[in-house]
Amino acid sequence: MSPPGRRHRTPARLRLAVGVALLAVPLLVAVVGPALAGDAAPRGRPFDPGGAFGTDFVGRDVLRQVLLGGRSVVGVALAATALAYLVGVPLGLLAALTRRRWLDELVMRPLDLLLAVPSLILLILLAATAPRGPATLVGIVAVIGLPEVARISRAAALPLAHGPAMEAMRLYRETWWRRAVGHVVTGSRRVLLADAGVRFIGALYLVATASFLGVGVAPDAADWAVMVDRNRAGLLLQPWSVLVPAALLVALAVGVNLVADRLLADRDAAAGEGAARDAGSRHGAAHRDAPGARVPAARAPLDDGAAGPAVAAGPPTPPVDACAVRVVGLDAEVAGRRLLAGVSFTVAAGEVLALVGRSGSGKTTAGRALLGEAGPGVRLAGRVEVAGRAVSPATPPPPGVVGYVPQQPSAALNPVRRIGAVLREVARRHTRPERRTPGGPSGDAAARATVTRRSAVRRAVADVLARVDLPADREFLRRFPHQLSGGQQQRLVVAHALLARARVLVADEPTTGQDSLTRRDVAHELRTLADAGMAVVLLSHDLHLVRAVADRLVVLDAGAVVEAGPAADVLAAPRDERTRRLLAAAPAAPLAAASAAAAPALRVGDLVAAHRAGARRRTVLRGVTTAVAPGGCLAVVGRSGSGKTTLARCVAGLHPPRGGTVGLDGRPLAGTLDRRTRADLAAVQYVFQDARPSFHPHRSVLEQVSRAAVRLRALPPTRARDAARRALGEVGLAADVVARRPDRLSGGELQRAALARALLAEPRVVICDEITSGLDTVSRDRIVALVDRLRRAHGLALVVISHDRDVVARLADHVVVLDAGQVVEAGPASALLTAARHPLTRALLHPSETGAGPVTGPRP
Amino acid sequence: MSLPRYAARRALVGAGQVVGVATVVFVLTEALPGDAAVVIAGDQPDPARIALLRDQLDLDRPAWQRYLDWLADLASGDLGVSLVSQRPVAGVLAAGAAPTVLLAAATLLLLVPLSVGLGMLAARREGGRLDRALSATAVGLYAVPEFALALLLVAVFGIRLAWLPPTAVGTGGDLLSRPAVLALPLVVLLARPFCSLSRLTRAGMIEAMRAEHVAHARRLGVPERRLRLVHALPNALAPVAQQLARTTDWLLGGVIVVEAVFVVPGLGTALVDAVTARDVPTVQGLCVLVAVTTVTVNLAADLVAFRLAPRVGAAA
Repeated sequence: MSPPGRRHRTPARLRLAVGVALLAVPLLVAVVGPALAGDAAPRGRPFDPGGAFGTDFVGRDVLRQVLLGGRSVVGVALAATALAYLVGVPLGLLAALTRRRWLDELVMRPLDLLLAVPSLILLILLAATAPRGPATLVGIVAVIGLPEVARISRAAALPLAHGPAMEAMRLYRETWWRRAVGHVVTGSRRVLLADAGVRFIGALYLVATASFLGVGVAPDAADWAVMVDRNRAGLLLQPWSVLVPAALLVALAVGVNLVADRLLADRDAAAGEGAARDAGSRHGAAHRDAPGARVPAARAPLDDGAAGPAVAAGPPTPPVDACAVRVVGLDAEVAGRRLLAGVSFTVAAGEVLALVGRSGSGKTTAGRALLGEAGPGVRLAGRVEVAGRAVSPATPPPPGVVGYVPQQPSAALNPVRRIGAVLREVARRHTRPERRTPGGPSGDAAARATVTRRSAVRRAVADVLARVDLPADREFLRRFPHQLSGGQQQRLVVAHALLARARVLVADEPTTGQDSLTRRDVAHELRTLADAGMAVVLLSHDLHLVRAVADRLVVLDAGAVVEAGPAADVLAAPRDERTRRLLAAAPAAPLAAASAAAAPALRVGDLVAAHRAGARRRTVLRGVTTAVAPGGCLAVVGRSGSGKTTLARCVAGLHPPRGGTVGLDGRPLAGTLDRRTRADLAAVQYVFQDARPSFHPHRSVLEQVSRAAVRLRALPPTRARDAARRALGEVGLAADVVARRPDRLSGGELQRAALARALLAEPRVVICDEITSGLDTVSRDRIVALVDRLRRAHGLALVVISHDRDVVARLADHVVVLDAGQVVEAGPASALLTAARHPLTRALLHPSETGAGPVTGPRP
Repeated sequence: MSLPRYAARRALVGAGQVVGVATVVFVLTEALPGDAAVVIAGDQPDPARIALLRDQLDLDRPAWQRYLDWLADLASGDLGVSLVSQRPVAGVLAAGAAPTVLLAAATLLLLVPLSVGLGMLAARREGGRLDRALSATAVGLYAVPEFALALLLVAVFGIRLAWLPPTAVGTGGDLLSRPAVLALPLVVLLARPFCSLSRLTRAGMIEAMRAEHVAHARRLGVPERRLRLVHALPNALAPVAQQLARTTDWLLGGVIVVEAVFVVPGLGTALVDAVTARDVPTVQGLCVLVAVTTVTVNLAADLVAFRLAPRVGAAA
């Protein structure tokens, strides 16, 4: 929660107390009232004000009617809510869990239709044709609540029912009960419970309003809403007969709402904190869970001459004037934890400085300090100067001076505005208006000025788009950001910076998740910008990119500068051990294809696969044929969207192919994994790109991993747990770590656990789908080394999907290159890595063309 | 997908929904098991009246034939003849439409600027006094049934303080002849939708102002006012537009209640009367009218949302 949230925690608690108090009165009356009501007294005169609350329209005692009248409202609403849940939740879960589209439609379409009718109309309509009575009312209100309950259940269950965790369970044929109830129901439980309060409010509203309109209950029933309706005529004579039941109904509604709102808020807050803790533990930088308000950093004024502390190996400082960026002794801490300690560097105009380091080393914090920004709760100290001006969160740089390209450029683009409109807006802000004539412009002159201004803006936009290699035609300018490719989005953000006449550009991991062709474009683009006089600060762990473009290098480790200097020197001869480790991406010689002559372990023949997008089918694999030898390793490479992952999923049985065969040891495998025999299922295992969502959050990692042995090797639970512990130990996870739930493990640890889970099935083939993307160099190398070791130890055939040349070089003995669903080149890794024929292969795999300089090509 | 294509597809779905709802209405009112005439005749099963009903509703013909005829008549705008007044249903609806449309239109006209404006103001200073006041009101009022709120307001402002007329009796359906009559009904109708819309606007604005693209625009020198109105607001409005469509559901229900409490001779009153009198053709006509309105409003909201959140539309 944001810091201001803390301030109104007291009113929130007060609100809850008021809610409980308001709720208590009508509930108490509803529950205890009938017992206190006593026998009916003889009727008096209508609307007689005598007695506690007087009499009603037929002369009955209002107090007695009030005591009796709560039961029906509360009871009917409760029963209706319960009934709606009893029917709606199973329906919604069924629709979510089924993999048959028609069943989903069959369940949900009629319910959607029901939703299209306004609820009160539906209620009146139903009540008009059904016999009166509380049971009817319960049924009707339940029917009205049903579609919403089913929809919410379905929506809550859908991501669980088809997500990676479910697929992982299907890979070891988890029992239906554990998948549906243990995973999906447990996972959506909280959403459904929290929603029950909202549904109850809705039911209460409907029941009361229906009774008021005289629908569904007898006209003389003892019911608060009926009383309000019937005694309305006496509002002047005997207001209590209306106001008391009305006030009780209002108290009931407001009370339930206040309490439910509080419970929902608590749930959201708990979820938010969980997510923040999760993010903190994963990235090492606990930006989000920092308590305390945003405090502008107290900064010590430093003389220009004062040297920044703790940077022994700092580069020689260029003269002040040439420096676009100058950072001296920058500290950052959050909640007592140090993110940056005495970081100093300078960047001259026309220079590319790379800040490199592992994830969580403080690169982003340093980069954002240049923008005069700090994450919530982050305190900065030290001196940051941009273009000769001191910059801090209190005094950000002048607009436009520092451009920022975030890791996900799409986040910086407004999803609902056309890109041309935004470009023109930025250009208008930064294009100097024509000088006005002092005598006050005549209308004609003003109009002419507007026209020239508009054309100047348009020209500026076109010029900048040409500089970043984007089209500038009308069709393109009318697009929305989501209609651009990732590379185009990134260039568009750069175009914004150029239009704003930025002098410094901070690029945060611009190549993460991009294929190598796009990566090459990024390198080219950054170089061009620097050559045009921009000071570029590159935050990256992509060493190829750094080698290709950086003039100077600052290596960060745990927030401190461990090495700095000209890029070529640092890369060629790193002095610090930590730098060496970071740079040590040297591929080991791949295992010789020992058994090339043997029959292949896995053979894929003429595989065709399609994705369905709405009604249309898009073919993503067009007749792919390849094979993996026993103990061999096949790397599948290609640009994003070339069909690599679909190929892997077809082999694993997660995606049913439209044609072709997948054969294991000469036998064909069934297309979907549900139809494979248990032995076949165990023989082909799949490790997901992102390990975290492939575990479900409710049980310990050990328990989840051990289920693979229970289901696929039929081991009794205790022995399965022992086997799992051994497998997890083999991948380097200690017993106390694996006893935790997945949210307490880091991404790298979970990826190890996922490997252990695959191994536990004793497979012949393991498919690794981009398992190192998103990891920094050091973590990546550890995982690659582990995979290599496991494969030798267990004699596995590997299929590795990757666009990382280093991974391919290190593991693969055979490579296939996919483009638009077809194999464009295949052959031994040694040949393709250095002497490929196809230009795409060369672009993807050849070191000289992915941007590595001559200084540090891959060592043999 | 382009907007016209999306609109065409969405309109087709809407037409299907109208037919579906019409079918539901028909099934519920006429094709129930048992003899519809006996059910409609109700508590006093007078054989002569039953015979008359059978004749008027054509109950001797099979249900599916009646259904097809009814649909064909609907398509040509013929809603049948009221069983009670023997006047054409279309005329009955036209007579009651004026006050109802006035109430609904006035509510919407006030609702959108009021809730969006206050929601934006509350979002400007999260946790500020206005924000807290608005949030407390919204949470409190949200769940109060209209009739209870209406009667409490009538008791206080209409009778005890006598500031405002407690009912619309005497205006004869022409509410504009005494505009003061509108005050209390409008407050009642506004209460619930205002709560949900202002909270949604507030939440949407807070989220949008925290988005990276707004920070990006700020770094580029876009002034704060423009950031809010041009960059953040359109992002915040997509869920508001959808909720506004759902609000018509409440509004239609609210109008029925408000008309009952304030004695306004509008469509809501006509519906309640028709249901009490089991005037099947009138009930059918009203329900179809309501369904068409709801579907149209939802269609419009989806189109607005498609423009405001093009990605969502593309994914759907």
